[in-house]
Amino acid sequence: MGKKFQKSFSSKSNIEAIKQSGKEFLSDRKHSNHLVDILTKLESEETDVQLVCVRVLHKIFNQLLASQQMCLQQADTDKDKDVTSEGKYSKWLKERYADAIQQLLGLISSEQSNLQELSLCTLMKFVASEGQNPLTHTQATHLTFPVVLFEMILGKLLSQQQNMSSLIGRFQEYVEYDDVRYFVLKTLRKQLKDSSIKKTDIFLGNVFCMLELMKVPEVKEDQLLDNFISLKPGPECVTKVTTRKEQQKIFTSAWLEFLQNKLTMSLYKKVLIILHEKVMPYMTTPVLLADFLTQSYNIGGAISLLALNGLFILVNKYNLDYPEFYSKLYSMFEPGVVHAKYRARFFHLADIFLTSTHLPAYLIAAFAKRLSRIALTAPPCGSSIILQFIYNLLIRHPNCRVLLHRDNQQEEFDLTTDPYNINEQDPAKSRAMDSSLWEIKTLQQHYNHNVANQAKRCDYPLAHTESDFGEILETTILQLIEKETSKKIKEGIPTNFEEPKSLVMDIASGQLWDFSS
Amino acid sequence: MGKNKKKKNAGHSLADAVRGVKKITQKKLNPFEVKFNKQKHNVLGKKMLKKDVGLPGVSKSKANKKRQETLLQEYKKRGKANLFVDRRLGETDPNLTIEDKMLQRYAAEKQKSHDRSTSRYSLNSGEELTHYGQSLSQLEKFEAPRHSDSEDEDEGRITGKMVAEEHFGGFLTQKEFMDRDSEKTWKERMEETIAKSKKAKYDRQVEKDKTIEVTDKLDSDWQELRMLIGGIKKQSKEVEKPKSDDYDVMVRELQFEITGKASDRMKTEEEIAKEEKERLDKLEADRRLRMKGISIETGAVQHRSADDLDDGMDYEGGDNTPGYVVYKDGKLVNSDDEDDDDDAAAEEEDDKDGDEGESDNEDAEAGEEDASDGDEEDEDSYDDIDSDDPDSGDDVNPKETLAKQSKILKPLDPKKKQEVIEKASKELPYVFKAPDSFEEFMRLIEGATSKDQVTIIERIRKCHHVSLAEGNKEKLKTFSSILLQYLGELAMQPKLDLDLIDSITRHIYSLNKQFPQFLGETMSAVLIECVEAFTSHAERHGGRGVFPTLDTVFYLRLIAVLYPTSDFQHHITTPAMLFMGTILAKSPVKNLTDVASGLYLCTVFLQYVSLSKRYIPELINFLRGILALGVSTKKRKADDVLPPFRPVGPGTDLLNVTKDDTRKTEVGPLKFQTIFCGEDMSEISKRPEQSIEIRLSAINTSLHLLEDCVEKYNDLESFREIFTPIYSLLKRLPVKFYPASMKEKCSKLVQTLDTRFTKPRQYLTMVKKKPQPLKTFEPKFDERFDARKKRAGTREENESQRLIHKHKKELKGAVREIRKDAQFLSRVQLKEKLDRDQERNEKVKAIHQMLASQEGDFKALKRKKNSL
Repeated sequence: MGKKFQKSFSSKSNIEAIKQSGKEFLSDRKHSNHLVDILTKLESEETDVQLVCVRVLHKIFNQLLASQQMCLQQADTDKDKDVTSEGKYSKWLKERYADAIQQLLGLISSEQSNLQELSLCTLMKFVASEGQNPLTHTQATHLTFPVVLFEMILGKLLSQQQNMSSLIGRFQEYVEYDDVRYFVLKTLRKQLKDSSIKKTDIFLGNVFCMLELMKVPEVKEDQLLDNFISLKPGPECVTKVTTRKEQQKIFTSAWLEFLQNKLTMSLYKKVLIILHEKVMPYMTTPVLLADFLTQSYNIGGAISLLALNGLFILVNKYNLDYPEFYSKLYSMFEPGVVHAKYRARFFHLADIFLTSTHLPAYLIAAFAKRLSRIALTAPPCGSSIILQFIYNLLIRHPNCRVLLHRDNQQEEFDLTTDPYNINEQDPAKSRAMDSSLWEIKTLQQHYNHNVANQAKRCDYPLAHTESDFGEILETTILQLIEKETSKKIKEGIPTNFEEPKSLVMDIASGQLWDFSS
Repeated sequence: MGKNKKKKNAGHSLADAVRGVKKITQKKLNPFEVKFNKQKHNVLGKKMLKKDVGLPGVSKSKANKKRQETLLQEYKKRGKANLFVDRRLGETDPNLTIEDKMLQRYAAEKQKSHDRSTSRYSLNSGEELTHYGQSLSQLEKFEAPRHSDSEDEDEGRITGKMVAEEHFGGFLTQKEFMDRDSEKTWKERMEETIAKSKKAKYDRQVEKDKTIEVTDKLDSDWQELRMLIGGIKKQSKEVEKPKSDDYDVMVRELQFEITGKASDRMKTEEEIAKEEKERLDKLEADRRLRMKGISIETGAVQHRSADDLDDGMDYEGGDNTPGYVVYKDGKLVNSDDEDDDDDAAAEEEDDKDGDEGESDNEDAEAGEEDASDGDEEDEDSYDDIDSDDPDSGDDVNPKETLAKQSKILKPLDPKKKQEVIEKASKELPYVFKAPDSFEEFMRLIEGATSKDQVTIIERIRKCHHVSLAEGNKEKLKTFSSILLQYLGELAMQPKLDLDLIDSITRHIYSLNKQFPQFLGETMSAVLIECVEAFTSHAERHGGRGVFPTLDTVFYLRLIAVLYPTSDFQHHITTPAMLFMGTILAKSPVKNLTDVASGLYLCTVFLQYVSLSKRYIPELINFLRGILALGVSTKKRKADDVLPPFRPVGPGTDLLNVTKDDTRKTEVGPLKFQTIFCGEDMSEISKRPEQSIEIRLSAINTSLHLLEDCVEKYNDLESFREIFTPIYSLLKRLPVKFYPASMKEKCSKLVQTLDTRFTKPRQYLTMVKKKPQPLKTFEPKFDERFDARKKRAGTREENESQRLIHKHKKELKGAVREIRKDAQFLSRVQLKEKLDRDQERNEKVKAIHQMLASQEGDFKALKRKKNSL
């Protein structure tokens, strides 16, 4: 107890001492050696001390950078011999600055999240300060962005062993700056291309987190980007950083480079989920993704489900010619689809794909039949969606209404079995048009009244307008149950009128269970 | 108008005057003046409306006349500030003669002078003096005064004593006030005073009445006496009736005597059974309607007689009825088996009498008071239970006597007393406080055997019967929710006490009859709790659920016991079914326990739809998955199973039997206790012998369930599509390792499916719409024609429409009137102008004439001159 107290006391006094020495250092050059003390104390094991050290260093170097004390004249470096004391001092300072950066970089990969964050912020602050007050005097036309320092930071962030996703999330505020974004993308591309870096799953995860943050801002064609963390380049200087097109280009190449790697399943899904929203709009030529998407689409299961969205955008907006799109889509309708996590997204997309009224009737009929078969095994929520989906299809395509109503009963078909063949891969050959939607009739006996009521609609002429099923897409079973129970109980809630004999043994099929112990 | 009539009547005779009114109305119309609006269709029997016929000329002239009287007068008086009022008497009436006028004037003069003489200060005016609105002259009749006012007034006043005591804080009699009324407030004292004076008034009234009565009696006595004195004997008007003799009385009595009384016929056994059947039929019909989703508009809760419901109900199911609570004078005395019958008998008597009172004196005399009497709404009547043998002896149980003595007979010798106490301490207490919380209840039943627990629960219910005290309803409600909780608790015990559970179920059932609203809410809350536990588990495990523990299963089962599961939509059963569906659809089967509990859930679920035969996709999927588990992995196809089952992976051959097990000929049913609360199934599965048995039982159970499903879903249109995957799985089952009975079952199922698959079907057709009839031009006949326009809107709407219409009409009328006024005025003005012009013209003419004649004269004179 006493020891602990002593320790905390000592650390407290330490903190005070560090603060004091930082202040003294800034006030007078006499105390220059304090800087060395602080740097050594940065290696301390106590987080509190380290945090304070980082803060003090932040203050010190920010001031030094602002006052340009570390700035060496170009000439000075040449004449080594007669270096002034001033020059010596700034050289010394620069060396300490490099030390500090090294140590802070080390801290980024520390275990303590607050320490990580603080050191990252400090380093980025250094980047900003350096950008505003470059260490070396250069021409105004050049960009003053401290590329070397920045690459070092990114190198740490895109660690191969450590999941940095939370820290990268913190990084988001800096990505707003155009130059930061540009250099991030550039570094990413470089690292992805670099074969010496081992592309571990963690690394790819980090890269994905970083890429996810990237957003190329919307500006007019001839307008230059001007949100910079470093000094703004003069108007005459046209570098790659300032044009949107260049940024898009590098964005595209970084993404393509990234997608060439072998991704884990979860990462794959994440990529596919954001692809159409966060990536495609910023790419120069989204069609370049076609290969990736086609491959994913062919994988099957949830992956192809997710790839569907991106593929659709390519087909729809970028004129991609995709043969047998609908037959592939048709084969994706499997009983498992209603159990899938991405059910809502899938049905939403399928609805979009089948919006066109110019699709052939046989295709629609095949889809309707297949969906109705799925509904036979689906849980109530899924059945509701499917029924609504089928009704919408039939409203859109009046030719398909024979599925619900056939006037002259044709005798030539053998109706002991359903003419529709679910195992036929080609919707054209499935003979769906010769069938009827008996499955909907069956669902009229569904145990849930919502589904049953919905199925009962098939007995009457269809409505003229489609109804939106966006609401039921997201409905979970819990919501359904809550909806049922939240209804106000009326006065006379029906109860059984037969006195029970037993709780468990009352079940009719008594021979199935042996209740004796 | 009235005046005119009079004037015209003046000339007629008196008889004419009497009939005058009629004569006027029979004024002759000039047929040329009458104008008819032309009718489009002439409808027979339709009255001519006012608007259809009129006298335009007459009404025009009438209007003109009215304008001349009003508007013209105003017009003439425009710009005039003063008014000349003629107040001369009789000058305005031209009919009066001069003599009459003079008479009037004289009268007026006299009146004036008289008024002047009777100034308000003159006392000797001829006015009559009155008292209470009656003339004094009339009052002075000297009739015998009934009472003296002066005396009354005196009495009505507050006595001097009271004044002295009460007025001014009673300072006159300070002392008395201090000692007597020191505690009383002012208000109380005032009330006292008022009461006193009221009482005095009442006393007076009574006395007065008495006096009047005495006076009257005296009067009548005097009359009689006077008659005696006068010797004038009046003949009594009343003729005394001859007294009827006994014989006549007897005859009359016999004549009107009722020979036989009509009484309520005793119902025969058959009739009672029939009635019961009818009642059940009605309930069943209601249930069917609800199953189809057609709501019954019953309004209030159906009343069921307490007798009806529990007739023949074997409540305790045997002789485990330790006792019933008995009361004397509101206090609980004793209970026992035998009492029970007495109670029942007593209650039956009560019911017959229609006596719904809380307690009966006779019962109390017998030392017993019925605990639960017929309440209006509650159907519980435990006392009826076991009342099958009505000839229960009057013999008193020794236990009962003891308990009775301990309460009633106070003086007991200490030895005996000790004995009683010892016995009593072994017995359960008879009065229980209704527990407020579950913990309290657990303390109550702590250590009690299950038999005693049932007794305790029973006694709690008895002691707090609704009819006994005010707050008992609430207490019982709390108690019912506690019982629910206890049921869940019992389910989690390592060893299931099914008897206790069953009797608690029955208690919950009858409490549910009593408080359907409350228990409904509680039950749905319990259900929601279970659902939330399930979903939160599923969320934590990536959407995969887990098969519920036994308490949830019991609650689900209890719902089926309490509520009709066949309803198309029900507040509690619908969510319960959704919940079961979710469990079956989301919980992966990992071991034999999962298989067994899933199968039990299926059994429960199938029981839910046993009457309504509704289709449950989840259940079929589950059974399909179970069958797939029984098929060896080599024969497995990818599309055999649906989530949550997996086609490949660990545990997918959980139920596969590879060894020849035909040695055993019979497969036992699954053991409920071992599954839910027995030893760990994973251990069992290690022991091959037992494991195989369980596997086979599971397969057997699912086959059985499938048979049930096939029967239920036979009529479904997609029967073939539903059962095709199962059919293919059945064929791949390793039947050769199964015992004979299972083999047979399997092949039978395959056969049934085979035959049912070929059922022919028909194309779907929509419900035919009724053809729209063509429009005909035949007249439409109204069955009940009342010649009134029917308005579609509500009363308010119609009223506002009517007002709007009226306003419009009035506005039009007003505008028309104004326009006519203007026309009238302009006509008058034109006439004035024409008159003026004419006058001027005449004047000019006259002047011209005069001038011309002058000129003529002058010329003539001139000519004369010239000629001269």
